[in-house]
Amino acid sequence: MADVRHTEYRGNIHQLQKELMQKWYERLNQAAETGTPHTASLMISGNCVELLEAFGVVPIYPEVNALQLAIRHQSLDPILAAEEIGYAADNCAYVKADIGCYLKGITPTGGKLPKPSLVLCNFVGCNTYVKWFEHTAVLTGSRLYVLDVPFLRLDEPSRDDIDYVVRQLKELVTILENITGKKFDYDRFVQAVRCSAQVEELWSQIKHLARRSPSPFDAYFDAITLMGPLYVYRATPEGLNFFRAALDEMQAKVAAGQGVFDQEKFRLVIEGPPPYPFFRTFRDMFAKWKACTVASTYSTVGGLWEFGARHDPDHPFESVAMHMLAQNVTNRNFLQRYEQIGRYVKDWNADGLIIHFVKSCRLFSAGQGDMRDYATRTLGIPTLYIESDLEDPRYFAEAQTRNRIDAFFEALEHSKMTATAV
Amino acid sequence: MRLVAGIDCGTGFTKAVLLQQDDSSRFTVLGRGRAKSGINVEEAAMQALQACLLESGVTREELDYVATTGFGRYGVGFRDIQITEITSGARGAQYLFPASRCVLDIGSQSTRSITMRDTGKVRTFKTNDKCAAGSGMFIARAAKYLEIPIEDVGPLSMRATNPQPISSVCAVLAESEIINHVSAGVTVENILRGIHESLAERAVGLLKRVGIEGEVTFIGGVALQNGIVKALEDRLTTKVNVPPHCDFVCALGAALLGHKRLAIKEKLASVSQVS
Repeated sequence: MADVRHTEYRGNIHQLQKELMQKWYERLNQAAETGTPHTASLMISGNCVELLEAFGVVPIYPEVNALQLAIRHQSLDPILAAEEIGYAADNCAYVKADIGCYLKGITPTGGKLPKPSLVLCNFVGCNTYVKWFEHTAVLTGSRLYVLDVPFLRLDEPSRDDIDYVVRQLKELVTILENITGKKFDYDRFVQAVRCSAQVEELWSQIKHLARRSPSPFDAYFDAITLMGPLYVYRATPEGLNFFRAALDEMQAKVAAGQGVFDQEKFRLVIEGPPPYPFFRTFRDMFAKWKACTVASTYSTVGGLWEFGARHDPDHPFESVAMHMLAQNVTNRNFLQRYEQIGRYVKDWNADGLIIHFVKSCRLFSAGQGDMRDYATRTLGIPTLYIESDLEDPRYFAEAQTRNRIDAFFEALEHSKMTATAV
Repeated sequence: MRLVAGIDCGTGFTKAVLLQQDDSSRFTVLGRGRAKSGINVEEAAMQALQACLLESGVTREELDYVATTGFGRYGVGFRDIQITEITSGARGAQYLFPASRCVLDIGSQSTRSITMRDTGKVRTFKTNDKCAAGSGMFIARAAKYLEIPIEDVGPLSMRATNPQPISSVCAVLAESEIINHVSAGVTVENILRGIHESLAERAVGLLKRVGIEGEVTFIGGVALQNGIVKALEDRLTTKVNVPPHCDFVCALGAALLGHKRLAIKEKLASVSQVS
């Protein structure tokens, strides 16, 4: 087999994404230097960026900063800085990288990060975030507001769950009014929610294009390129323009019969975030086998829209609450995660499932051993379980990881050959 | 007649097997060679291959194909194909014991459990993570501390009368336990058997995770030690297959798979000539 060492989607969208993200960092830098615009730190999963947009508040996503550092091989220094002041070896490495950034004054782009006007802990699924945002508030001296979003225990949130979150969102409106000195503009909020709904529709259409063979993009590695604008610009016209361009470009690829690989050999579903410090190395381990990811759970941490859910401008508060409660993978229960993977395997016609266990994230990774059993026994799909970390380079063992991936594809290649022969 | 070399570039040792397939498709192992792996993977592979060729009376030029396996498989520039030791270990074990459906491979730094189909193809596998507590390096460190040659570990372990368990899950911390046992006057035999019992316990756990079925074949350098084989059989309550050259099974499997790949290559070449 010929080695395919580097394969990724690099179209106009890639360049547009870079420009948009650069512009975001410039705005944050401007906020650090001049105090405007107002900014708020919040978590990606189930974020309520529409409400911030209504006040012209720019989001700061500590996770995006952390992963940007890791992908640039700069995460270890801030992690060590956090460990030096007492964070344990097995604490979330995203937390340590972010805290270390504040301690050492590091940013991924070399610019400045502002003191957030508000540390908005949208506690969704991950209880570590409460402590993380408490610490951020202490380090920056910023005001802290914790949104308490109940975990999704059943298939749907209860009416009380929704009302409980809506009441908190309305409380947040008052806080944002006080911070920004602006009166809440309901129409602007509705417009932001409408924009999000349109972006979600476009993003969903893009993801469904990966059902084609060959898939026009890798729904794990390339999806990450699109996820930055999805979280930062979702509620803005810029986000809408970006995703229109992205859909057009992907549709053109489909029309031209272009895929990630000329001959797509394997179609994968991936569960869990990538090892960002070794993102390229990890991707190449799959590219070598011409294995394309057609669906991933990680691309739904910010929102699960490919199955039809959307923000609703007719019920803006309720739909933001629903998004936080039910439409992001981290707040969903394990049976729902199983179902999501099952749908991907079936509807996106996948050959195998890869589960990446993140050592420093027990919340997302706990139970993945059972998930593997479910996938192999119930879905009957070959499954590979690999372990490293999303942020801490010390947990990545290249030789072991490569060994497992190669062995998985050696077996999968034979299974496919046998199936074809039959 | 075709000649294929399988080279297993392991973390401790590099092993080479020269496998001949005659015109009636019968395989014969012509020779084996071994070299310490060290830091130069290619050099170790060359040394092991030279030793193998010397034993076989075959020259390098007569070789038709070279298949590498093991952690250093990509580091051998003169290879024709590389295969993981999981795939090659399963194939080698199935060749030697056709009724085998489950393989335990304990090498210098890795432990692997594999289930396979009757064709020797891998069905599922589990490996140890970034921890050498259940591997050969654990025994090597213990032997060094106890000042006994590694070759004596197996026979000494068989003489144990009261094995002392090593409960630590960490190879480094387990050394402290060994020191405690030595201080408490526990015999070397009982300490070694305790180590074997501890390793067998971990190995059975790994085997259970893939599902034990059919015959179990134990391969890798650690299978040379009869103390751990006995400990394994006691736990599994069944006999475990241990081939005579248990540390060469991955190299053998690589050679078998190399033969298969070479045959396909030749077939494709003949089809393209005809067309």
